Amino acid sequence: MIFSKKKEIITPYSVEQCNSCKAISKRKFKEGDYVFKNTDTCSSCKGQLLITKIFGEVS
Amino acid sequence: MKLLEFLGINFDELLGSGDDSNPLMWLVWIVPIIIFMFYGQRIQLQITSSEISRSMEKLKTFKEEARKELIEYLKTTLKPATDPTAKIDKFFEHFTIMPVDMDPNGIVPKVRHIVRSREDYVRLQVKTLSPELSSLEASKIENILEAATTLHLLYKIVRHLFLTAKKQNNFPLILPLQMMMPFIMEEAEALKTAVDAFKHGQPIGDGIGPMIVGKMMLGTAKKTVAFETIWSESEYEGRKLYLMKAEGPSATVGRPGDALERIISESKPDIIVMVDAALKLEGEESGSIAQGFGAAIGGIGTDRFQIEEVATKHKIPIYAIVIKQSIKEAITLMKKEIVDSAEKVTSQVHDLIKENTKTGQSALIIGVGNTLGVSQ
Repeated sequence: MIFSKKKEIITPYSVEQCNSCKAISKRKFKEGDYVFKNTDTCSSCKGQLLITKIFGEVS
Repeated sequence: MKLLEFLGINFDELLGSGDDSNPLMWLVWIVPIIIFMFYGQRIQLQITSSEISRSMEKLKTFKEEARKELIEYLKTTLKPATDPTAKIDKFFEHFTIMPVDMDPNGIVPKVRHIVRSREDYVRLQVKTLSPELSSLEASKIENILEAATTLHLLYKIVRHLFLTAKKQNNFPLILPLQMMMPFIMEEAEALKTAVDAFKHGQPIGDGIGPMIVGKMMLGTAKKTVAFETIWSESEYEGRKLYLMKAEGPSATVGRPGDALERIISESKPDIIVMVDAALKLEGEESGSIAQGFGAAIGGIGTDRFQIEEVATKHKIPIYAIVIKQSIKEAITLMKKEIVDSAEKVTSQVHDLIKENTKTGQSALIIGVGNTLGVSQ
């Protein structure tokens, strides 16, 4: 089929940012995540991590 | 040709090309013409019917899958004492009768009353499913129910039009359905995919407006201003900012009309800026930004009417910034292109405030849309 569409698989990701060192990390979305949620402490500076983005990307 | 020779068939004789007066050949050409003259529409009806029938089967699968997903979600998350299937099936057949519009004067409050009565009823019924149901879970269920009900209604309408055309053997009657089918299927596919985002509490494309205003609200004192709607105050380059959005991370759009009325009764802003998702035209890029004038808000129109009326009464200009996306992107998990536009929109909002207000003046920024998975 010339016009058949390929089925895309979208994977959800969460982006966290540390409020003190501003380091940004991207990980797979976990149940209970929401934008502007305070999550863990930063592994490098012990600052507070905040989810700044949640989005889907074609994998 | 070699095969024809091998089988002993003369190609010229077969088509009668060597002799124009061959009566058999004359029949071969004339019979199909007569058939198509009298039965052309019926043949086309059969072909179109089989195409629509295939799409309808797909639509039926979407509808049934959405229903199944909703029931399974209820059973696994709420663990209700009784089986919720019968109650959910009853919801699918609920209808809303819109007010008479022969005399349109004063119709908006009537529409608002009917729509809100329906929303209140659904909310109440969902809450009866489980006594310990949180407002976040309840809002998620309400949204899944809405998607599943819309799919159910779409299927029923398509089936009605299809069966009517078939029953009447009426080809022109099936043509509008054939033309609309790709658009209906696009919406149905979007609704089916949306159920997944609602179940997991993930932000959807429509949530970009609340996400931008939610970020501006971080670190400010938030107050409830209307049902499921909050506001806070902030400052930007000597201007006072009133920020308003639906209360996240629940799956709600809040009541921006009521909220605006209350904010304006307390403190009159000099400008209103509305940030919302808007449907893109084919060829436009997802996440592209456009700026304009007027109330950028979708829905049935009652909130838009309320906002326009209040703004006109107080002579407050309304500016709009929209983030373009398709119908599917608007109700499914937010795409990277859309989320990445947030910073650009924020700076555009700031520019708009600087250009249209002086130091000491104020602006009301409204993040319009479903705030599922987006806090503040």
